[in-house]
Amino acid sequence: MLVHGDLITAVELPPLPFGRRSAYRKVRDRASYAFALVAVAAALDLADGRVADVRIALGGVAHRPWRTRRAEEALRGAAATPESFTRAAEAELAEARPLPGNAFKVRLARNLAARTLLELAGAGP
Amino acid sequence: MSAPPHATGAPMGRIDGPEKVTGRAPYAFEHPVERPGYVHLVQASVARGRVRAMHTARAESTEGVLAVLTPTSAPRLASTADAELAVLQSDRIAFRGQIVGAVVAETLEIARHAADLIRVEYDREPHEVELRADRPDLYAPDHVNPDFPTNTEAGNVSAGLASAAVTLDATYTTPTYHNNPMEPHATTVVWDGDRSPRLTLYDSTQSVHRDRETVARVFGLGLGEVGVIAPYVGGAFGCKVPHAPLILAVLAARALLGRPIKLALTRPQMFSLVGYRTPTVQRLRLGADREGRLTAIDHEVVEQTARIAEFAEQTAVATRIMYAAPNRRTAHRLAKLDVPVPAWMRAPGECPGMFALESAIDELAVACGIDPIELRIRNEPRVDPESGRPFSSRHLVVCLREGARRFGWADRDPTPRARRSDGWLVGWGVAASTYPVYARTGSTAIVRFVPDERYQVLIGATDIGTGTRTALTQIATDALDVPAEVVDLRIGDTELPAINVAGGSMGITVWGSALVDAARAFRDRFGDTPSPGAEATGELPENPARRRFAMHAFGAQLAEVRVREGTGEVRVTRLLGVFDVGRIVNPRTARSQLVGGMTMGLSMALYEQSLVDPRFGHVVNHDLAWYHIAVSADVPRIEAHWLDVADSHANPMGTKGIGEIGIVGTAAAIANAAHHATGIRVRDLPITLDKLVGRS
Repeated sequence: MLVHGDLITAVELPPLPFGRRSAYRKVRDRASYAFALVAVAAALDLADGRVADVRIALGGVAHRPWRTRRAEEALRGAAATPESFTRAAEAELAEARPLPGNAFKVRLARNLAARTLLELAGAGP
Repeated sequence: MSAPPHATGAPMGRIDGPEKVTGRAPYAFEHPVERPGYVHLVQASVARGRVRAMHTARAESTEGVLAVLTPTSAPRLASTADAELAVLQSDRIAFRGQIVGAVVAETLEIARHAADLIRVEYDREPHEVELRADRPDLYAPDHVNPDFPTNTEAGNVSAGLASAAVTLDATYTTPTYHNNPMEPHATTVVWDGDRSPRLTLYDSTQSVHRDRETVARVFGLGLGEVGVIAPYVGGAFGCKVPHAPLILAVLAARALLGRPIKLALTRPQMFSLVGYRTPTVQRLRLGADREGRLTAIDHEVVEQTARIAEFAEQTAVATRIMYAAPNRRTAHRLAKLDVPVPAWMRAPGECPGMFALESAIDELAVACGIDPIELRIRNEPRVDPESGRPFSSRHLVVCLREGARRFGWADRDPTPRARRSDGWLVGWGVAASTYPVYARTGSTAIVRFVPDERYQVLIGATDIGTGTRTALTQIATDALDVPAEVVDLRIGDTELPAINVAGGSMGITVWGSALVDAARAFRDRFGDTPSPGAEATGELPENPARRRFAMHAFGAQLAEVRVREGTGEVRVTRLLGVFDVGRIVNPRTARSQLVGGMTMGLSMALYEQSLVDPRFGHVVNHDLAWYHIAVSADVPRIEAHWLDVADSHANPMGTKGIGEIGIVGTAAAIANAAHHATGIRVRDLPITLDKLVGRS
């Protein structure tokens, strides 16, 4: 617990074995100097073509970065295929409640998350 | 003239380039004056109503504040006939962001702080700021900008559509756009009763003479009492003409006689006070036979104006001259809303209008199964369809064919979604460009021989960043048949001969013609061996050819667009234009104009839109973080080519104007390419990824 006058001098992030296979993807309205419409941060650990562990966060879809625990749960142990990546993203977004002006973000988040995972699955050992 | 041209056509570097890049060129805000007072304005936070009370005591008692101006305390103007310029003359509020007060202080920071301390009470009234095409109170203006008929009709459009083998009926929309030159509107004012002229303005303006006439009229001064100086202007695009902030700056100087005044707008303030391009709703109906020959063209436009003053953009005017068809109709209707007055933005009329027409032509080509370049060639008119007059020059077909050759168009598979590359859908599109060759009389120039064998060339033109200073020097050099080094061109000052505004792409036509006329008069009177002090005046001569010919510039633009599968991200990866713009005075500055116009067209196609909050009436995205303009990473290598065929009827230089045509047609070429890539037709600009994602 921080008390008044404390100063944070360092933040240690424990190394994640599968963080070696990670990516951040940002989709925006122009190529530079624009906020993300949707962003995806993902880390993926594979074993024998299956998902050993995975962590995914979405940006631009909620009032804070959105950790997709439901998608992660759906993926653990699943085959690392385009279909399972898309299904997991859809499971996460099933209860999304978009507004008329941002309904496209549901499709965008699904496709961007699935593609990012697919890229990671195909990116080396 | 004795010798063939030698300077015209050469890629002369900008004469003022070194001054600009080293920061020595003084812009309007930078002219040194003694102890200036700085102005910051207070803007209405309601879109319609009345100022009931202004609480200014805290601002007035702030140390360093020199004056607080309100609708009750501001000096009275001599003329309030132009409602947009009737600054602080009544308590009425006609649009959100209107100037309702101002603070003048010793520093800009104090002025801004004190302006924030002013509390305004309003009587609010219900407002309407949303353009809708189904409003019952749309009306037909008397004419559209600047003086075109509102409606035209030839033949019978209904019959032409009914008998057509292929028809198209589609509605296209363009959003509100705001001009964003690098330099905001800025003015330094010196009002000094002991000097002549009494009132001197250093203004960022497209026309020093128009500034002078406007300020003299509004303040009840003689023309000789007002001087305007504008040696350098950091971009304009149509918005650097007298608007309310200029009047406010002079009002502040009037209220504080003896203190020079400086006023520069902030970027957000530019989204409510200096004009904008109206949004448009455009219905296009086309009819054609099986071979794609047009039988009918109907272009109906709905756009907006302000309740306090009318500006009617000439959106459908280009459609009148583009294609041959026996049955043609164009119409403009306006909605009067509680909004700022729309105004000029690069290629008013042609720019939004040709997005709709050239998109519709592409849709017709798809419907007919004919290549869009071939369809345009089949509908090329022999004479101006509207007036029946021949064109002074029209090489659109050459532009289309040359553009196709350079682009490699012959390899294009017309099937949408046929090309994929590395997860991206790839499409190619084409559109035509056009812009009129305007020429307004009323410009004069003086050539004077001075000691040291030098020629002063005097004309009250302005260089708004286009390279006018350099191009006019080249024209004067050739007209006098002397080396460029002995020509001193003076521009940007009302002490110089009067000219017309820098607009309508007519600077070189109008000012260049006046220079050539002055040089001829000079040589006629003084020959090749003048004495110091010899001087001759010239003016833009009446051009009888303007009655015999329709005069327009043309072009073809081709684009390659990539749309990422899954996310709908859109990138323009190639943009190529070929232009029939007459003779080119300076290939270097001309390329900048054409590439700049095409870049702005790309920006319009993919990014730009001013989003108005209907509840409050203001532009929400009123800065460059949220009003997206293409950044460098968005712009591919753009190719601009020209035919360099002189138009012998247009003017003595053979030029047709290059300032605006580059932005005309670009958005349609990109939209057509996006359709070719994805099979999705986006008719509502901009083409943002939300319109493509999940569908591409």
